[in-house]
Amino acid sequence: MAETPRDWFSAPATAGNWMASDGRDHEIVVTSRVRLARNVAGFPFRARLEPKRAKEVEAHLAERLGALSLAADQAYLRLADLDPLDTELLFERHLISKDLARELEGPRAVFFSRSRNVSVMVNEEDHLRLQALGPGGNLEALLEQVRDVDHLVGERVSYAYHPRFGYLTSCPTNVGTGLRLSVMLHLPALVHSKEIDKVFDAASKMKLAVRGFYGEGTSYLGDFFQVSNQVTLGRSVDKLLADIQRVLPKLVDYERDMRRTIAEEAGKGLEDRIWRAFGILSHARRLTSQEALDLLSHVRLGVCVGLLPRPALKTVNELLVLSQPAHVQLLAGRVLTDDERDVARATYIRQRLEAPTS
Amino acid sequence: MTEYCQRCQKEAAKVHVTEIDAEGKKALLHLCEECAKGHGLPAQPAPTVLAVFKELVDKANTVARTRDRQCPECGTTFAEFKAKGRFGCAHDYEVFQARVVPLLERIHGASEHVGEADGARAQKSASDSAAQELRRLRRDLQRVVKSEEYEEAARLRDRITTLEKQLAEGNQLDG
Repeated sequence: MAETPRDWFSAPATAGNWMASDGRDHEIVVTSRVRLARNVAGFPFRARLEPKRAKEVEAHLAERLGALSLAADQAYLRLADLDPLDTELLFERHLISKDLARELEGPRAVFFSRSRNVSVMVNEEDHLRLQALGPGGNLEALLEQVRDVDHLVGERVSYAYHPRFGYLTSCPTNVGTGLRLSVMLHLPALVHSKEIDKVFDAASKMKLAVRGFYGEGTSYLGDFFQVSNQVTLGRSVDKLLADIQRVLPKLVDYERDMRRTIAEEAGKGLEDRIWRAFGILSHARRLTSQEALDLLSHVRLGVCVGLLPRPALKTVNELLVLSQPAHVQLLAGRVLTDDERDVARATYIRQRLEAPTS
Repeated sequence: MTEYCQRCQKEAAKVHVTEIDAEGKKALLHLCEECAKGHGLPAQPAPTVLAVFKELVDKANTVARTRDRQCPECGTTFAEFKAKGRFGCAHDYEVFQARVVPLLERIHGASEHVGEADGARAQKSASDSAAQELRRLRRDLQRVVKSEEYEEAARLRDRITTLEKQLAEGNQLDG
């Protein structure tokens, strides 16, 4: 095999580029993702897909996706051919879902291009999950990208489609457009001020779902929340985009107002917590990924509101990605036990925070 | 049209009572079974023999329908779908349409796809002309009337009227 995810992600800077550290609202809107769910006509859905048929779907799509000329760096990877560490790296970069990486069985694959930030999962909950990811909140551009890919794939693959229900999906919550527009928001001030429940309430009233750091079925980590549309049917793709774009600035303003209040109240609770977080990250000898994420979230807030003079926001973003389990092992250059990982993670973060350039 | 309980506004009104107060004023009350109980009324008026018979027949029919309905393509039953929350194949949407539509209404507040189908699909769907859709809708209408799904029938009828109007206008423009 030629290159592996390990080769692609070994440079620490690639981790930081994935999250926004400039541009409008970058301190709150960290990343965005747009995905389309599609199934291949003539094959049963995942729930009824016999192993033999699952292989056929995979072969059918491997041939057609492989024939696309999307970008020079496009690659089609079968999960069965990948080292577990590479699979986990893809998951930690949000290029494949938790389900595809860990839960589902049978032939699965991912087709993707790093330069285009596009990935297509094969045999996920639906036969095809096409997605575009990028830093910041530019959903419109990502939607454009993923639609391009959808058109290209649609020329070669016959999608399961119904004149009344639109694109048919395994789960009725995705039917119609099959579109999920998500933004990952960093909302530590709303969490700290206990206003976050109001956000959840308002979001659900506006038919938006709030999910955890790794998307569907994952828990809330480090004050990062994925906000996405819940409705996929009965509204056009453009309407769905307009709907979420109308709400997004309000959420951003809400968090920004709370941050301002917090910054003005410096000296009280949160300033102390931010400095403690910085202190622990700078000196600890052992850190679990959960603890690192929580502390980095505080440090990120501190940097954004100007309470912490360093590190640079880009460094914090890099560390958020690199402190995840598979990335810690990538940096170490070998497979580590849980214990070894916690030590390696603490060591790496300490070094990065000590460096005067950071 | 379902008439809702005047008290809880949630359940269908099944008990209808005329109340006469001390001054002899009459008031008509429509309640659901649960609220009727709270009102000191029997949950149901004494059933007539005919009503009992009809209920038995209805129940038998529903059970038979839900038990037998199975997608001819993938073998999934609606009960299976409900347990898993996942359909077995594309045909399930069609096979269970009568139950899928209210489900989609609950999830999305809609049961019809809006917007051009993307990509290569767009060309194909352009050929799925309004006239074709009209034929399909009329077929659907016949089916739902037969199975007494009146709400769905009303929705289809409205859609048909709109389409017919559109087609008529289009023809005029063309002519």
